[in-house]
Amino acid sequence: MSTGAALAIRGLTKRYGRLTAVRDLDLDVEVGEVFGFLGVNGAGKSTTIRILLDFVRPTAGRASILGHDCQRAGLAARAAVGYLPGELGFYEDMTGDAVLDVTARLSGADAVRGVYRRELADRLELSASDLGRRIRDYSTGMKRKLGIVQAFQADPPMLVLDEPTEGLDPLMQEAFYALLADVRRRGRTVFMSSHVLSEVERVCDRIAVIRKGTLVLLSTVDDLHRIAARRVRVIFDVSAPPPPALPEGCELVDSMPTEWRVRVRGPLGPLLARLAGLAVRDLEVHEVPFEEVLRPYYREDTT
Amino acid sequence: MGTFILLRHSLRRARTLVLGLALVLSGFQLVLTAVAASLQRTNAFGPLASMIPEFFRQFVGPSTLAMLSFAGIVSAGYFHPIVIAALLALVVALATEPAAEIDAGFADLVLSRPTPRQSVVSRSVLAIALSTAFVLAAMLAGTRLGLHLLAPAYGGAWPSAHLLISLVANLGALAWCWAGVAMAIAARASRRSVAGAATGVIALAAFLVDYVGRAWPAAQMWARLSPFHYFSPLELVMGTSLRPADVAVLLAVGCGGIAASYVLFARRDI
Repeated sequence: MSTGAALAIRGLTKRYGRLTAVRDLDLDVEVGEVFGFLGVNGAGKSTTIRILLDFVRPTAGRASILGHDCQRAGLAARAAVGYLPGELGFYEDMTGDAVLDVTARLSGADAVRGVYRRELADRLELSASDLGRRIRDYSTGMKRKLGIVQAFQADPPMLVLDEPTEGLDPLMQEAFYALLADVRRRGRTVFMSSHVLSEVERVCDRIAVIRKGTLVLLSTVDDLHRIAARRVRVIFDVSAPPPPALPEGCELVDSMPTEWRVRVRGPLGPLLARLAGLAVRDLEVHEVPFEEVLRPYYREDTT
Repeated sequence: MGTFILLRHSLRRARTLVLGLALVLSGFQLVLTAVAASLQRTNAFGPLASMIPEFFRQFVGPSTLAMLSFAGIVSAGYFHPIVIAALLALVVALATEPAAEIDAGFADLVLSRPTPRQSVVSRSVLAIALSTAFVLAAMLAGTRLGLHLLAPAYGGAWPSAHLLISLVANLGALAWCWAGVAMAIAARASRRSVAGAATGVIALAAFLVDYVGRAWPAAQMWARLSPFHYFSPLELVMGTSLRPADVAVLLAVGCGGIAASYVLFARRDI
């Protein structure tokens, strides 16, 4: 399975007895993309990520990272990945430095540049004395920062990040976004899961939503905004009766003598054309929050 | 490469346990030597033996007399139930490290690197072999030091080097056997506590099966199923040579368990 994509998933299925955690999943992530992998808890995100890292063996289907099959050529695939787990399993009696040393050595002797590691630690405000302390003395946020450094330190071509900003304060979230922007500029690929939709909207190029193991949405963030229904409030100088029909993509939600409320999917042009000749005093266009755009895909009763 | 990185990490984490156990058990050997020297000095072995009732002597067999000797007391540290339990606790702790790493989530950090799963198992095998060898060597050193420092006058009564080596080999083979069992269980478990407890219960059951088998002829056949059946230090103290077949059984069980752990760990979901 060689597609040229950074990540290629074909017909991936994982069953645990009668429970299907992932069902016939197909997905491509291009090199240099920041890809958001979304869904409610138990949707199958973590199972998919664990299959990519060969922690879990698929019941059917295949996945590959940079052309390396995640199961048959798992070592080569994982050599290209930096992984930040959702729940960090550091031994409490280890120091931060010890964690970074062990994970760096396991990444390969030449994989980690000390200068880059120090730069990462500096950007996330992990001082040398912090790294010399035992993990048991770390706060949740410090553990997360240490996890980010260990995932990024080998500067791998692909980063798999599970809830990367969970537990980070707003300042550190900003530092992390800046870090993400840097690695993207350098052509690295990022595959991340997150529940913070504002974060996804801000950093991701494309997103996929998975529900009950099935892919229900695959789109660029820009396209999502484009197709999302906008709310348009049209205010007239004089009374304007409700229109008998509106252009395709426009739906009259409410009408008052001098005001229409219209939901518009797609471009505004047809609506503006329909309003030509009417005594329009003002026009308000409200973008729908990203959370609201995605909410239907999270729910079970809609697709 | 990954094996040795993980081995270094594991030994560093286990160093307090290994060094502490080596210190305690080698100290115990010194104490036993002091006790044996004291009894020898006061010629107490004969009177002690005569105090044992005849029916009990017949029940226990000739090993009682063998134990009530200078060499018997000095050798007791290699088969005292507490010593065996302590050594087995060490190997079980090391053998269940893969389960502990999965339990703690550390396995996610290790196995997300280009580290083969076999490295995790190989690391544990090497950690067990090195730690057990170190503790047994420390015990042997404790005995030799005790003999030279505390009982130089009774050189004629010292246990032979051959006996001490046989006792160490027998105990080492027993530890290896249970390490294999623990590793096979830990390779499927997601919690160290579960793997450790399961191994402990099986070891206790095996010990009791052997114990009953040694005392009750009707149960002798079942005793063969217990690894402890192939651990006979009292016979060594009485002068019998270490039976290669017994050692081979213990080593084979250990190797079988380790082989199973490679297969089980490679196939499991983490």
